[in-house]
Amino acid sequence: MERANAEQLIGEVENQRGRARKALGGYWFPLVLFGSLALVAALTLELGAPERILALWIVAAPVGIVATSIYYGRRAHRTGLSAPPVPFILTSLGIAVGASLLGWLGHDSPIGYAGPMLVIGAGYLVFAWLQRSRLAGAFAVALVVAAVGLYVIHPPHGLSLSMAFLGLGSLLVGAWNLRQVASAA
Amino acid sequence: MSADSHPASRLDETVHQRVRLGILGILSEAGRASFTYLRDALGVTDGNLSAHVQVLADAGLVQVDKEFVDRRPRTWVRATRSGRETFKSEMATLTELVTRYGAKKA
Repeated sequence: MERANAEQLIGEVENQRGRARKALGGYWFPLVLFGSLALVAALTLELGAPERILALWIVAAPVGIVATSIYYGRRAHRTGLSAPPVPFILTSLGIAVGASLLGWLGHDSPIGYAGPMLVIGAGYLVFAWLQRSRLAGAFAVALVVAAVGLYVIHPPHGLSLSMAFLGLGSLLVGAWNLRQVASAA
Repeated sequence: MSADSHPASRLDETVHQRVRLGILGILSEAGRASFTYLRDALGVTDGNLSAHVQVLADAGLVQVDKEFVDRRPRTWVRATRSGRETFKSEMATLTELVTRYGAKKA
């Protein structure tokens, strides 16, 4: 086989892989959904109803997961491509279990809000790698750094601050990704 | 096969073909791809794609699933573990081939 033929074949295959990766790159829906929920949770806390936070997440988290599954299922049928679901499901479960556990164990201490944020940041890092997204990766690193910062500084309203940062950041990254998806279509 | 054999001798006959390598390339990124997506992405006819998918399926490199959505049939193709490994190995061999040619020229 000639070198030029081998190079051309590699180039064609990489080009097709890149297009498939781009078609699979829309991850705005869960970010916008869970970002909005985190903002509502932060607002609920600041309005003085912390007891409603647990109820909010118990109801909203499973509904959000089902809605996200439906979104990805419909997208797969529209585009004709679907990512392997198992790594996404395992990462989501890891985030849900890890964040809930640390939030519960660290109640009334900085671990109660910095811990879940750290777990969410680590989970987002895995999602970013799965989606091959630098933007999502940068946001995940920002979450991890913010979690460490919140733990060290231990500011007043730490829980609200962590949720507001997570919510606002998720909404911004989600909106940017939606714009990318729309311009590529 | 010795590890220092010429890379050309290690090219896999089944996947060393533009369409078949393209199918495995797309499936290495996506968990599964529809027959329609593969046909459009690779720029081939239905019959041509069917023949190539059949060769890969017979070699155990892909799995074909059929499902009905709104009473319309839809065919999905997914790479098996062996298919993913064969693709990686083929790409590594091709890259090695390019590198070796480059080194010889220099």
